[in-house]
Amino acid sequence: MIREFTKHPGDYIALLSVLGGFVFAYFWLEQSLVIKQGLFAGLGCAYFAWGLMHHKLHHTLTARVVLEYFFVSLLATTLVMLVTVR
Amino acid sequence: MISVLAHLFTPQHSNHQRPRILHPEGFVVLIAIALSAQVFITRLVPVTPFEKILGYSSSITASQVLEETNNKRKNEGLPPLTLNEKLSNAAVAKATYMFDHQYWSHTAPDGTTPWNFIQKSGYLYNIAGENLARDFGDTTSMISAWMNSPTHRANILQKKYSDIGIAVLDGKLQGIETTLVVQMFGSPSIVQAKTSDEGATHTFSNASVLADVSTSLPMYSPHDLTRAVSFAIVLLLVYILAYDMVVARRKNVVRVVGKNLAHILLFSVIFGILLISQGGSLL
Repeated sequence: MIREFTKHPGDYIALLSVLGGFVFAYFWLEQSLVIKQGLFAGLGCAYFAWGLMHHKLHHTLTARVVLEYFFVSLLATTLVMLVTVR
Repeated sequence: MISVLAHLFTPQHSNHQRPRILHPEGFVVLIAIALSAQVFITRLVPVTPFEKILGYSSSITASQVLEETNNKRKNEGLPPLTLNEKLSNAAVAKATYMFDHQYWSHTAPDGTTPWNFIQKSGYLYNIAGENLARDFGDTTSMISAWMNSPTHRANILQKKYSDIGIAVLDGKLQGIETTLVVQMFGSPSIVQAKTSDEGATHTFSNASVLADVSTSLPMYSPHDLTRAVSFAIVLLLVYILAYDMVVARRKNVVRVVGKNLAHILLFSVIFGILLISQGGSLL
């Protein structure tokens, strides 16, 4: 893991910033249903975009990779919405 | 069987050195499992103990709600609230009305306010408030959620209140089997009933109908079941992603796939959110 992180430190720092921003927003913003839904949808979109950018920059972007990031983002958003948004 | 499991969960030749569950199709299957589980949980929680296969009950009781509410007040040096029968009747009426009219709000779609129920119960007040909660599995987590919400906390710790009514009712609200808790607070008036300003004294309380809460069935709440399924999926994925990373490195496999470390970071955040998710909703 550390080796992977040190190979692309800039990319992972950007990802950690996005995830950290999401956690900050989740805890500090008003907890209305609409805001929660927006946050989770935003997290999924941001992660998907990060995946595309990362692989595009490293010339490893393929259709399967795009699909993988799309469904991982969708799965993460679905799991968290099922539990927290009622 | 073992070869199928290996195909699903370990990188090998048959799955192009990537566990099948980590292929895009695998993620689709996991999404389908999560959604199917949600449908199963919401549809199969019983209306009565014998109708379906899962039992639902919360462990919340009116006496616990009263005790914990007064403990919070005691910690702040405030006098305890006295359980008032009229306020409890108002709370029960409010909870019943919410189930009957299928709404989740302080004010009913027809405009009926909490104060209407209090006035109908015959309790004359100078100031009153209401707290509502649903979907919580136990009293402590519900009281904690209220205490973490500034407006609900203000109701619980309002020094002008002297009485409380509590209702705890099980039922089906908007398609979900749940336990609804209504707290109604008040300060009696011998002169005239007067509605307090809503923003200043809004407190919801649970009136408990003890007979309704209890069944001998296991205490599964729909939220807890959904959360358990989500936890299982997240933990399984994180484990497989980590295992796949290690095996791929040891084998020196070159693959063009998504970054396992990034996926693990994402699902770790999801795990954290699931962990601190309160479960219930407040109003």
